[in-house]
Amino acid sequence: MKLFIYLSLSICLFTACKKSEKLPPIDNAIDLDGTTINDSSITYPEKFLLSFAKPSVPDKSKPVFIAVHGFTATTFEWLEFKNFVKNNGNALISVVLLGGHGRDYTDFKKATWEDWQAPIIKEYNDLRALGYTNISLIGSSTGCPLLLEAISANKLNTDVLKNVIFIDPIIVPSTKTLALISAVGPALGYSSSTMEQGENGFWYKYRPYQALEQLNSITQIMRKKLEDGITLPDNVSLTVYKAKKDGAADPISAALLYNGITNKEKLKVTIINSELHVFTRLKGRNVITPEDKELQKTIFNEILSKL
Amino acid sequence: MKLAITCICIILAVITNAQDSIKPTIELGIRSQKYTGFYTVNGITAEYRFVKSSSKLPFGVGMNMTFSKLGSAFNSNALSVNHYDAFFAYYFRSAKKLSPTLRVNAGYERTNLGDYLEGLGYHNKAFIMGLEAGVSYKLPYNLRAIATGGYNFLVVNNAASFGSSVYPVFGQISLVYNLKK
Repeated sequence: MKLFIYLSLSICLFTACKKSEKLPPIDNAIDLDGTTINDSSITYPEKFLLSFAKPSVPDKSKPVFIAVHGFTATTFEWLEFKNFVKNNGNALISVVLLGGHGRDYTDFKKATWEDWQAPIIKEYNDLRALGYTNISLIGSSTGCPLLLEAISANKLNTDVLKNVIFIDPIIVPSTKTLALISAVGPALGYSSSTMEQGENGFWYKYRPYQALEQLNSITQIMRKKLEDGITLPDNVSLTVYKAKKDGAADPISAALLYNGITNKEKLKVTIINSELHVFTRLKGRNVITPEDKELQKTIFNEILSKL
Repeated sequence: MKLAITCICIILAVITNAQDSIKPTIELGIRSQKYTGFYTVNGITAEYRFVKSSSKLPFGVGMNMTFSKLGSAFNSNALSVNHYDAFFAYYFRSAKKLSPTLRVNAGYERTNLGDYLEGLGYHNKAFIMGLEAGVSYKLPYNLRAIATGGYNFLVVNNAASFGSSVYPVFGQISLVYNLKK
């Protein structure tokens, strides 16, 4: 009897630990995860990347934003800010698609956080090589640790970098069980996210555990770096906007950034009275209040005023 | 909370009923706790165990006080986290050298968010209940080592909390010295 119990337990454990490689029920007609829909920046890079469009800009000291979206998102996350900057006319903007993102589920599954980060570094270096002398980086959610890691690891020559702006940075995830992803992920395979109607096709609906492991990895790296202390380059200022309630990026992320940046005179943290993750992106949400719109406009104007 | 009160009542009932033959032993020691994916907190632990005649009764009650300032936040920019809890421990094969153990913890955690955020009125405090399972091992010189893995199954943050720094899964090692053997 004992032997039977031990054998049964062993089989159960083996089955539970076995890697689940099953594909999620992707709907090619509407899901970004499918093979039909890709991010528009893949088809029309000139509409998103300044380095690709190479517009005729007589004054290369004109401020340039490089906007970076978050985990599972696409360039759609910065569409409203892109239009705002274009209408304003005082700055230029380049919207980067993270590596491994905007394509199908298999590409997303394979990519590491270094792959996600690579297009940011490339765009910054390309713009610097084109002669732009006033570059600002703006990131949302996972875009923020990717930007901060690139700066702190000296992956960017920061001589032309002026401002870094974070919208709802994720240093600590709201879902703390993410820390267990390497243990439970192989049995789960992937997790599904609920999406609002207007978000279909712009965010991944299914999150392979391999991608979640990468998210866990970059947030852990940044927590450790912040514990050790990060000193911003002399010519760079960091502004952090953090919603006081957030289902994806735990607000305590702002406290870790505040504690971890050693040159506080270069840092400004602003707590936002919002419960939306990436409150600057309203397009695609089911419910948008007049307060949300007002807040978005105020923050966009504040960001432009920093230039 | 109800569970913790029930446990304490059971212990008191046992002590009252068998007061003549029960002698308490007090153990004091150090505890090192690591949250999976987050900080290490170190501090002290104390346990009050009961001895009946020559054999040990299979339970004890105690408390832990651990601080990130003695762990991850020591000489670093990590947040200051203070953790206090009371626990009820049950020991299987309690007379043996190696004894599996189960624990229920109930306590409180306070995270210092720094002057700026606390100045805005945010104060992170949380009531926590957790379960631990592991082993206790008797060592020479009245020492005992306890290694457990734990899970915080209930975390209730106060209304003025700014997110939460409480991670659910942790591992801990304690080394205690028996003061009354």
